[in-house]
Amino acid sequence: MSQGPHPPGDYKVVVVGTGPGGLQLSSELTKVGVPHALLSQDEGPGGMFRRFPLFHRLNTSSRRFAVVPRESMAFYRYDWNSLINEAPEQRALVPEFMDGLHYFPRRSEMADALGAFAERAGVEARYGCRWESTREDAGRFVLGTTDGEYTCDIAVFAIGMSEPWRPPTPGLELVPHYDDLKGRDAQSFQGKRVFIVGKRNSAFEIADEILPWAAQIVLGSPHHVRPSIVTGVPTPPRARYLEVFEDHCFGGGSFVVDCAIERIERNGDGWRVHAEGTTEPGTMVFDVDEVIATTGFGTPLGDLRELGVTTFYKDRLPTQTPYWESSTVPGIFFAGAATQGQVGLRKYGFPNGSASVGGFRYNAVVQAVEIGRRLGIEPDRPELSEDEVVPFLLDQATNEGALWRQPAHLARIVSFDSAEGIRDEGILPVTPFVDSAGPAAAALVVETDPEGKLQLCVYVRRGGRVSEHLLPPAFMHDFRTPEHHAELESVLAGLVREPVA
Amino acid sequence: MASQTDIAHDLAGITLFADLSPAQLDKVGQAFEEQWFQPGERAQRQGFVGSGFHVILDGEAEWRIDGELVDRTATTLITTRPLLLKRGDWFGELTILFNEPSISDVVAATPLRCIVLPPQDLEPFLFGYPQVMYRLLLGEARRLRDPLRWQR
Repeated sequence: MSQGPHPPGDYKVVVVGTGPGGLQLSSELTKVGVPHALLSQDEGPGGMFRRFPLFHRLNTSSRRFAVVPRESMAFYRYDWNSLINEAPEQRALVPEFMDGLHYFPRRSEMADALGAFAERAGVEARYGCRWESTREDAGRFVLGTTDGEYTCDIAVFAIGMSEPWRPPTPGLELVPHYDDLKGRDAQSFQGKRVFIVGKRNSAFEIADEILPWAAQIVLGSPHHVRPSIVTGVPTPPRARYLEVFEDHCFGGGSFVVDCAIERIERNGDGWRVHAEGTTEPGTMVFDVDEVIATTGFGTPLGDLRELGVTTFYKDRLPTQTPYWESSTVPGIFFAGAATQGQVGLRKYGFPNGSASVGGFRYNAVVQAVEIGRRLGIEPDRPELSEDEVVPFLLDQATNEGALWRQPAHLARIVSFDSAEGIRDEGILPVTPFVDSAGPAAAALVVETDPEGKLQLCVYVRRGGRVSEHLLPPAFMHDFRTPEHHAELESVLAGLVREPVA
Repeated sequence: MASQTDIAHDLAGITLFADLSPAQLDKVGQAFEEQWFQPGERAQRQGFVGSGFHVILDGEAEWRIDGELVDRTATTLITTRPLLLKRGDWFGELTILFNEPSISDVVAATPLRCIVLPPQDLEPFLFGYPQVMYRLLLGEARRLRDPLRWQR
């Protein structure tokens, strides 16, 4: 049995995983006042950042300097990787560990920052304790681990999307997955023709790394890629992986091909890839020395499916409520990257930020409050005066990282009740707000328009019905202008003040 | 969540995509995003912009206007069962074609799994796959010609 805090026993809440999702949630649960156990199969904090990305820096950025102080909450809008902390001296830890050579942190810098967060925020975990089984007993959950059994009312799985996933393409099971390349260096691809199955960031990450060594690189998948600099959102390839894409455009030794892979077979010492063109029809055959599957990852759910947890996205993600609770097994929650299974409003098809730390760290903050509420801990709801409401919301629109990193997903909500007055309800998921009746209230969110430009939207609930109001764009995203003040006051007319007769 | 999914073989039995080759299905599968809705959740929201073109893979959904179930009374003057959307049915296309907020809610009646295309991608998608555009046109015509048989 491993040594450390949180020995096997009876707890209100058990959190599994000490990647950024688990660390953030544990820190927030402590803040809310929820006693819990935090378990990890690893030997220390960091989760996937103890292993990934394989070759490169992260593809989420952290500014080291911004127009707001590093110790302010507003700085998180510019720092996509640091975990959130109320204490100013514990904020923006990732920039503290970055050496200034790049604004994408190295994996080691990220891992160091996560370790520092756990230490400074006092997040204690039982390391070396692996979750192995789950069952229900008298309405509670029993988690079997290598150290013994944990009984709890609520179990939260912050286990990342770390299980290699392959589509059922014949032969694809024979070739190494991205996950299998651990310990391999780029030089080992010297002079080789390499076919990479996939065109997501992990595909471009490998291609970019081996570009100086490989003789030829082919990236193949059915979809036509549209780089992030074209779409305006983080679609692959990201700007930092564009060298391979540019080499393809310039007719170099790299090819980015739109094709459906039909099968992969051995061909002497190498491989033969059979494919069918999608954008340009036609049969394609590639003879190469190596094939790598960069076909993504799924959530390592263990036996949770047998417990009744349903999944979608080819069994890779659990179906979830807006508070990231299993939609079929109440009391089972998810944190971290798996929360991308809850898509929010998904306006114009643009994703929210839940696939990366910059987004899911805010989910953990919201989730901890919700778990506290389930256990009888009601959150603070600060009262606002009539004169404070509009400036407060416009300041939120300008500075609140949760809104900017979780577009069309998380909202700042203010309620208007004749008995209770005007209350700041906090940051909450926007979908329950727009999909349920309730008291008069307004929800402020950042959204993306059809061209990918960010805009502000206010959802107003009156008489149980919710209406949508788009606000005009703001110069340099600063909404604290007289024009926006007047516009928002007009939208909230009759809620903040009685309508003018 | 990830924007590209591998759902080609799910699409093979959908009438709308019946004329596409396996390779085209693969590509279509990656152009759409798979989404999941729990019973009672709105897959399309009345009065809101930005909703996509949805094709149902599994489950059933109801049409509601101002919170009231839509049945075929509106088009036939005969009171019948509520309209129920099922596997292979689609919704959201009129809102996109007319470029206006949705005029109705579509609410999951059971666990509902759809593939969704962002509104701004529908026009280029249909021009890229004229066979799908023709199938879509057939479906719209069928709804207009015979609303009583609209629900298969």
